[in-house]
Amino acid sequence: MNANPQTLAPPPDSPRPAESRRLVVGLAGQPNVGKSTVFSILTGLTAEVGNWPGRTVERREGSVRIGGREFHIVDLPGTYSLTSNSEEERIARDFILGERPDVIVMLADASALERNLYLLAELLLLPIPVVLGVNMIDVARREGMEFDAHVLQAALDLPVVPMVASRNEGVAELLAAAAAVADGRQTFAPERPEIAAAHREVYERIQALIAPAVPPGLPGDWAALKLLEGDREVTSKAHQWLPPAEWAQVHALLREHEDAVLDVAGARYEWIGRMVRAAVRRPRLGQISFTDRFDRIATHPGWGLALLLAVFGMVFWLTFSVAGPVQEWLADSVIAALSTNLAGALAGAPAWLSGMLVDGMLAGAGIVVTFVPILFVFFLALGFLEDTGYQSRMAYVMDRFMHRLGLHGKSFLPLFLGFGCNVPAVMGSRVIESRPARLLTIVLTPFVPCSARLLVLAFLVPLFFPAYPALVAWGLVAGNLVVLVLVGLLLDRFVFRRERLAFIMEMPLYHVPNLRTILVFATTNVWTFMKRAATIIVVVSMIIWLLVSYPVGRVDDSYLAVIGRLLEPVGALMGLDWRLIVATLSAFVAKENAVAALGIIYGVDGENLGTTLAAFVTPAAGLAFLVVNMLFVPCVATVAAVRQETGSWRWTAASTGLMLASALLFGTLVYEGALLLGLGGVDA
Amino acid sequence: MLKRLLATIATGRIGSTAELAVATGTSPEMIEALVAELERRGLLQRAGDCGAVCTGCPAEPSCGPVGQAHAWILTASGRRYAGP
Repeated sequence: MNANPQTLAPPPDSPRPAESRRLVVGLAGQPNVGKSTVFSILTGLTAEVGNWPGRTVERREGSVRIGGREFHIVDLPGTYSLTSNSEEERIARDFILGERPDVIVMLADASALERNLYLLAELLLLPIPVVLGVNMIDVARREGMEFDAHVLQAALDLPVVPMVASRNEGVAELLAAAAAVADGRQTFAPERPEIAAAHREVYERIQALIAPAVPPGLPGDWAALKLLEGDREVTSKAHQWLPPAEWAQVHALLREHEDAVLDVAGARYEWIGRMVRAAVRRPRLGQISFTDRFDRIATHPGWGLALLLAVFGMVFWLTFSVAGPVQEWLADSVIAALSTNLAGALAGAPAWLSGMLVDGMLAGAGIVVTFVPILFVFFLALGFLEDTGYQSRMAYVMDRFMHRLGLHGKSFLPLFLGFGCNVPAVMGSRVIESRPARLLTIVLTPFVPCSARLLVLAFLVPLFFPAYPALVAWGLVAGNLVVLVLVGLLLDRFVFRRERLAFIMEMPLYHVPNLRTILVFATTNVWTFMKRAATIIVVVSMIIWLLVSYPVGRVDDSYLAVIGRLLEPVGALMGLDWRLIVATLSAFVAKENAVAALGIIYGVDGENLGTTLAAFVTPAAGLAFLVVNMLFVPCVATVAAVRQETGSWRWTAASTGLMLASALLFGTLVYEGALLLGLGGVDA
Repeated sequence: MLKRLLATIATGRIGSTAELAVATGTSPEMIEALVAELERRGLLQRAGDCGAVCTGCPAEPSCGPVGQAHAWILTASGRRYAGP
């Protein structure tokens, strides 16, 4: 094996080694620290790949000759620690304890030392000398970090080599340091993490109990520590090593000190903290201090909420101001002209075909397509919020506000996931172990205004309130959030009283948005929408046209009118006639269908839809219609997700029923309130 | 250190890693490392990774905050270690 090791030049000022025996080097490190790069530089074409004995994990090894000295490098699997949590971790420690390399070279990422040094803390407990290579110092410098290898070396009391492996800087020095330690030319007496005082006594007792039984070659203090850490493999083996009486004592001690597992690991992190504080300096970058300063407002339960509402207002204002005129032009000029031309072209075709294409497809899906400019600007605004890092704060600030109302964390998950799309939010609830808490998340999620629902608002509001769409859309979003709070409080008070969900969230730093990213975000979403318009919305439009055109060709006597009139007694509470009821029902399949349905039902006479709606629907009824559409049963995909996650039709019905009841209640309240304000009554 | 962190998370008063760093007097990088450790030990569970759920969903690009932020929920084991 490795008859012809690769040859590398030694570091310029390195002394010629006194010994020339071949050294076996174990290359250790967490994943993504540049271990593969170092291994490739060192071993080149001599690398051999096989499997670890009896395992499916790849074993890579190869040789290198530096200054006449041969090093045999064994690349250990990337591991976070040396506990038996994974096969990789078991392989790494079995190799170190079983094959006993001459030295371990551990690589760490300079910009993530807090995380990386945990493995070092574990390696130092084993009877093999260790050398630390701190890789990617160029990246750390770019992040504003100042790293002092000499200080870290002094603090750890072991060789520390700064490196940029991608440029082959420090690699030969790393092996020179490894040789010096392995040959004994450099003393190796590192500063090791100590066990917490609270568990030192029990550790010593376990150590004393197992000492006579630990197999030769296995360090007794390491085995005792692993037992305290709850290492499954060592625990299982100790059960076999020890006589029953001793095992019973050890077992009793471990049960009594079950929490030692966190103290052992915690002590390692305290040790890491001391080392990093000594050797690393992270100046407060402008980006970080800006994030800190801005988050004092943006994540404040009061100011943050005010900012959130202002941001929503800005998004709608921008959307309607910029894209509104383009949408009107498309509807009045392009679609109208297209409709006339298509009707002319189909003059000789059967009436049903002409009607279906002109009055069904074009009046339904066509009117929806005219909203593409609104859609594009809306997604540009959302993309901007996401790319700056602000959107992540939306869920957080809402939850902080609800926390003050007594909803401790219960609304977090729905808000965190639901602002984007309700479906993954419902699916995401499966991480919650407690079934009641999971059900609470599932039931609350559909009340979060998802991006699709906001989009429908952007479609519908200018149709009903062309004079001040941004104000109405903003009011509806604010109202939706109020409903979310009220429903949350209601469920908290009467259904899920004892449930509490603790969470922690890591938010990105604010940064200057990337125009290309935002454009890609908006374009992708618009394209997705267009595909929906070309499929579901076209089909639904045609079905609605058929139902509205038959049996006699008069809208008021159509099948759709018959269906809608069945529900008119309920709709009347909110000022909704059968047309608005039917449009609302069509939104169940896809929310955009509401616009298509309105286009077909009200736009059959060829008039502009907004003008027709103004003539038929009073402001009070329009407002109630929008409220109902915000809160009406969730989309079919969300209902399916609720069924799947609850595994219960009863809970699916309860969730849908709650949404429906809220829509009816708040629709009625808004309608009555609007009447009191003199905004009219049922007029159609 | 880890126990103290768990206990702080369990109170529900602090919800962001940045605030947690200030409250515990440690660096945000250390909090990141500790949270990762607690996750590996099954005491915190990452939330918001749609995984297979979102694969192929045409609306995935508009999934909002999930893309940039990360969140972890305290598990039952985590609550047990956090103490009363």
